[in-house]
Amino acid sequence: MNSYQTLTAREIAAQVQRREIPATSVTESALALIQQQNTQLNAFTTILPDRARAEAARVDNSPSSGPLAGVPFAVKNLFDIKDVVTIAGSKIRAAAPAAREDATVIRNLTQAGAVLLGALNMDEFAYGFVTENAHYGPTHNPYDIARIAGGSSGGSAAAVAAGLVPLALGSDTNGSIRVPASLCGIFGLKPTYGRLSRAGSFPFVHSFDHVGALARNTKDLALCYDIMQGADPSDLAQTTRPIDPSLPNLGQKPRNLRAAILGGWFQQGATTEALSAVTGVAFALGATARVELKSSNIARAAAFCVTAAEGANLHMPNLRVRAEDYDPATRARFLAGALLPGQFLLQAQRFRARYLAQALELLKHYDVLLAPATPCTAPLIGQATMKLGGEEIPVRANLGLYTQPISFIGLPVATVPIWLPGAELPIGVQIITAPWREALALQVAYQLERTGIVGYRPHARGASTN
Amino acid sequence: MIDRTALLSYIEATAPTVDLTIAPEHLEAVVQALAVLLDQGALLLKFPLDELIESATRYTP
Repeated sequence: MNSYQTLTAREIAAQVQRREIPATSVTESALALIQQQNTQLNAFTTILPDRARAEAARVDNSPSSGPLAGVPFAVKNLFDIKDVVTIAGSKIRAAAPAAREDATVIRNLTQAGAVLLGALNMDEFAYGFVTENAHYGPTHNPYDIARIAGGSSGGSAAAVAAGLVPLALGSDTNGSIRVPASLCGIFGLKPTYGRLSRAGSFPFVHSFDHVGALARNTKDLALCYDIMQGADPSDLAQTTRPIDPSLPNLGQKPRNLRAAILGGWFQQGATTEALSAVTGVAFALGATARVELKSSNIARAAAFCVTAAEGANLHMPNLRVRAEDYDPATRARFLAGALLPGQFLLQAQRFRARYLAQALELLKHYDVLLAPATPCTAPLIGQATMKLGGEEIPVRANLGLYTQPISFIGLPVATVPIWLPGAELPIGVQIITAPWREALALQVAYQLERTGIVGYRPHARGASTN
Repeated sequence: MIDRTALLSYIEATAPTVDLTIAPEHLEAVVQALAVLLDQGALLLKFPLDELIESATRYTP
């Protein structure tokens, strides 16, 4: 790996702040690396060298520097970037007018000194777990380019895992940060529903849409999350709760932590790797209890129905006149969602209230719940089915088996990467907490990282770039 | 799983009510997607819920 790839976001910022390296030089290293590796990875759909150079020069010329001074980052291509078309992985939006301003969270990061390098590949309209986009091609997993990076924030996860950027933004409706974080071996944070502003991000399912971040270590993730917090009246779902910074107490070991493994649905069908990863984390946290969030299969079914119907509703005008321009995988599900009986949605909403009440009750007794982020390691690109629990099931629909019930009720989750002994691919574990306790989820992730139980592992592909 | 003929009839009947036309080349994929969704929906509908649980999502004017 070259020296840029080995630096954390905080190390880059510290060096830029001390004027040891100019932000412009960091930016050039990042752009050169992207140029070199993106052909193979297909993580970036848009690279913004002019904007990046201008932002970096501004950082270098500024008398004061922010906490992310000169730190390169990139965003899933559903975030608005001023003067760039927000394609949201689609052909449908390719001719839309360019965004007039940056999304709120991008603005927060650039005001802190971060340098935006470009936009990243995703499943069309965020409807998928694979980032095998019919219009823009598949994103490849940096650990094995024959495999998927996961989705829908697949470009974000691959760019971070490959070392092209230390930070990337993604969105998570049913698992779209947690699934790619798991398959690409990095850390991901899906905050509580309503914590971060979604203003300036193209919606998928308003009821479940979250924005969040991906990074190679917990401290960078916490720093990025803290900077993105803050009230924004332009997202009606956003909380008015005060900012809750996670970084100041990140290094404090949570006292008397009550952690439990989610059993039942969250173990069914999981591969040995997924189960061993959870067991490893549970052992490190001293978690011996196994608890059940009952009817999680129903929660997933409800999330399925709401996603299809609400997602379809947003696209009705285009589905009527240009259905042929959708990715086939998206089109069929949107069209089917448009025809769903209303009873399914009403029942889903009622069940959601019940399921949340059950989860909140469980979270009175446990601070942290543990579950696999994905049932398996990264499948091959183009792989249609996989064997789970002795059954051959479709890959596309089932990578989110264990993430969907959790985002359905908006709980915060930090995903941590594990490399099991002898493993060639990583896998992630979800650290789930009660609403608004992101700081605790990150604290636990940091403790695990510090003891070496979880962590990012540099890959071999960058070795020759030194 | 609901049978294919019933699904085709359902699509034929409901698509025009929401002003949708399903192109013949897209129909098979829609049939399959709808079968999965209706399966999931059926599972959901069978779940007994207390009648005091509201279906309305909260709207604060």
